[in-house]
Amino acid sequence: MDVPEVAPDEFSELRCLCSISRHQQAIIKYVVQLESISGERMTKKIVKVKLGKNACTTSGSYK
Amino acid sequence: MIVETTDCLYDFRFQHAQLEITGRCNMRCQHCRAWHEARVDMPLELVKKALRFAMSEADDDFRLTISGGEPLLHRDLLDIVTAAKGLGIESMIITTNASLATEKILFDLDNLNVPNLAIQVSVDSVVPDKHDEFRGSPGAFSKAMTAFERLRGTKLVPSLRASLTPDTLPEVEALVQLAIEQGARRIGLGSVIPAGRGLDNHRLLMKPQQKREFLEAVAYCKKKYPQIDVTTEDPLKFALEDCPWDCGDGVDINDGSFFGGCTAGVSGFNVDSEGVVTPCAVFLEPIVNLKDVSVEEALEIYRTSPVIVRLAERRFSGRCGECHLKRLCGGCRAVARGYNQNYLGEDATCWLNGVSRSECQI
Repeated sequence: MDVPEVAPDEFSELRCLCSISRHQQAIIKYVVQLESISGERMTKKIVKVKLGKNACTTSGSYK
Repeated sequence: MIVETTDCLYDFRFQHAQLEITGRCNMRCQHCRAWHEARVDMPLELVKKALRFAMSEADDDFRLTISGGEPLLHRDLLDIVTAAKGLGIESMIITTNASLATEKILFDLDNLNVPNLAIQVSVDSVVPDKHDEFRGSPGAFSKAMTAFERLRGTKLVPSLRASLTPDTLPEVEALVQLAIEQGARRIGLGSVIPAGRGLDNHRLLMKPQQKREFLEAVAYCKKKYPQIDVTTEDPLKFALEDCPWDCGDGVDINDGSFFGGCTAGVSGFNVDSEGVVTPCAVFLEPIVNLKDVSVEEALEIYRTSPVIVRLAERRFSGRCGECHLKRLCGGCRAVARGYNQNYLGEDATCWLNGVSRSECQI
């Protein structure tokens, strides 16, 4: 498999996920190229979610 | 946890979870969100499973809320707190009507030495009779005040929670003053949400201008009373022109990776007394029942759930879909669900861009 640039360690779980569900082509920085079993290829952006301060955490609030 | 949408792979961690450890309660609150739930206790083993589910994807500063029903009715409450502490959870909140907050239970909770254990007492009006009527329990106000007295002798963090209606809207500042008098370090104020019993009691729900007045009053008190943490969970607070709550340093509120305001399902989740996981305590869209599956299976169901995928996509309709504050506020998804039967719809209590209540069901 040709992997031009290794993703950050934080995406190890993603590599695992891809290896299970699809044939992983490559992870290039924040984009992953995927190929399905049927041969369909696609590119998806990897988004590391940033949660805002003072977001609603209804837990501990509404009762 | 990786959630895959049409064009992205979202990577997120849980910041909080709420466990409704019992569906039983000794009050009959007019707005009860858990009114429809079975009056049963969550077995200790199921509580532990829910904790493992949460902690397997938890952020470093994860917080746990132990709720109900009335959580002090659960005979295993001390074991539940101990189990959570054993998993490394240092920040917990127990929400209670405080009617059962005896000196003994507070002493026992204090002795568990959880670094940050808050006891959040519900007080919905400074007028005792009004609070008692709202809670469906004569003497409820007096018992809540007694609980605050008892908390003063402990390391537990006293907190006050108020659920307001159009009728009690003018009481915001008086409630903050009461919280200060009672030694509370935090007061959380919110409006009644159309979920559970609140869905049927329309007179308890604020209209858009009332919501704006309410949030402006809370913001005013936050500035006026710096000695106490005055807050509200309502995401519409970010729609205020002079919002005193910040959303973090150096964030781009238009960036697709930023999730502010309503982060139900993304930042955390709720588990009811029968093990059903929902995005939050008032956003009652079932995702998985922890009773039926292993923790590993539950995580897989959660991250591939259409509900969670849609919440990650954040593609809302109505005014929320077009709003420039979509990522910062997002509108309350539980309000959208309650008014429109569509959790991706608009928050009908928002005052921005006019009011389209004619399109709503209520």
